[in-house]
Amino acid sequence: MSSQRTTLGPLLRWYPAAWRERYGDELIALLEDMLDGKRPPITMRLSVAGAGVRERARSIGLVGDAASPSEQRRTSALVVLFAWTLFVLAGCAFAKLSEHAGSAASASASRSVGLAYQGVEILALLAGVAVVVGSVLCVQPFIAYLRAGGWPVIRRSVITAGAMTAVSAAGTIGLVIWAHRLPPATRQSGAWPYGPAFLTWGATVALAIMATSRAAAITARRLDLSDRLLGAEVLLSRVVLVAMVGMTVATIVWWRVMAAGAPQFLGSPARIATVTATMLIADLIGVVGAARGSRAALAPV
Amino acid sequence: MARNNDPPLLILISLAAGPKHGHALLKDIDRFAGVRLGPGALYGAITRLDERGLIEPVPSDDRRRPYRLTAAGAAALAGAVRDLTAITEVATTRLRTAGVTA
Repeated sequence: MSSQRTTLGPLLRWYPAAWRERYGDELIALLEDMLDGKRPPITMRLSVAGAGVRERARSIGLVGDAASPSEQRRTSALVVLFAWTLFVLAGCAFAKLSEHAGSAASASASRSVGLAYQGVEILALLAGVAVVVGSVLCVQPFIAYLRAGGWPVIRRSVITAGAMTAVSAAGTIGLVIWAHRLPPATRQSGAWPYGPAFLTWGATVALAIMATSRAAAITARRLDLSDRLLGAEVLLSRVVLVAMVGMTVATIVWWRVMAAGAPQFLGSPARIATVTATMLIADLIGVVGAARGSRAALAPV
Repeated sequence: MARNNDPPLLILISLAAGPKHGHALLKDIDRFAGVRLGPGALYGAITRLDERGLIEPVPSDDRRRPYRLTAAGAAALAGAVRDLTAITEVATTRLRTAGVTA
């Protein structure tokens, strides 16, 4: 029995800690009764995992009405922040793919390409400012949280994010110094060893962005935010979302103009499709998050 | 046509016959409704019902904790049965008008 409990125990990881504390032992007992010593089949694993994910989503106010309207608004802003993180990754890829596009575009297409790119830049700046303002607004509650002894709870995620950022920053400096010593053809060919090193650096930067976003979300979940501050965060998250959708449109316009005027510049369609799809998925996640915030705003506090 | 497989309602119906733990609930629901709930769906529904005060755990030293219907749960079940009966009566009347025996 104890060995089966060891096998089944990890299935509970899908559930939030408070749920495991209350119902975990009962669920394990039920699984043991159902299995009668056998290994859990995949359908059972999926049933438990799916229910655990739903329970987690409920506990943070993403679905259902279990969480308070305030908690739902906080979740709404954090979902948009997650979408923004995904969008930034796609945006980095777009920035790399669109390097030197102005010189490749024909004279007639150059103006449209320039306008679309400027649109992306302005909207990226707008979204970036909104994220920074949202972070600054949380500084005071963050300090209060640290003073109340919250550091041990967030320490691991914050240190991981800091370490990942330091590694990616060091990698950026090293790569820039190396790249300036290489001829442009070698840099752009993707040949060994620069090409793989560049990809590794890109992955490191992506991981640093994700780790930072994760640490921000873990911390923000625990801050004591007033309704007014939550309202401001939800509003800022809407600004970010509008900017994301605008950037997606501008990026698609940019692709189309370049595809018509300088198709040789774009290269593999798979790269374009991946970047655009990632942006669209990020937009969709952001819309889902914003809709959750709207629903919470209509609920009585 | 799919059978009624609303887990919270099925659990309330099962507990109306007396307290049961998770596995006994699954077997009973399979017996009277022909519905095989998964463990995740069962405990998701138990969580909702417990939070709303419609069922409550029976004090027990066993890890297989039994649940029983509360007064609020019994009232909720009675209301659901009234609604279902009203719908069933409409369906029966309409079938009779159409010359079909239910």
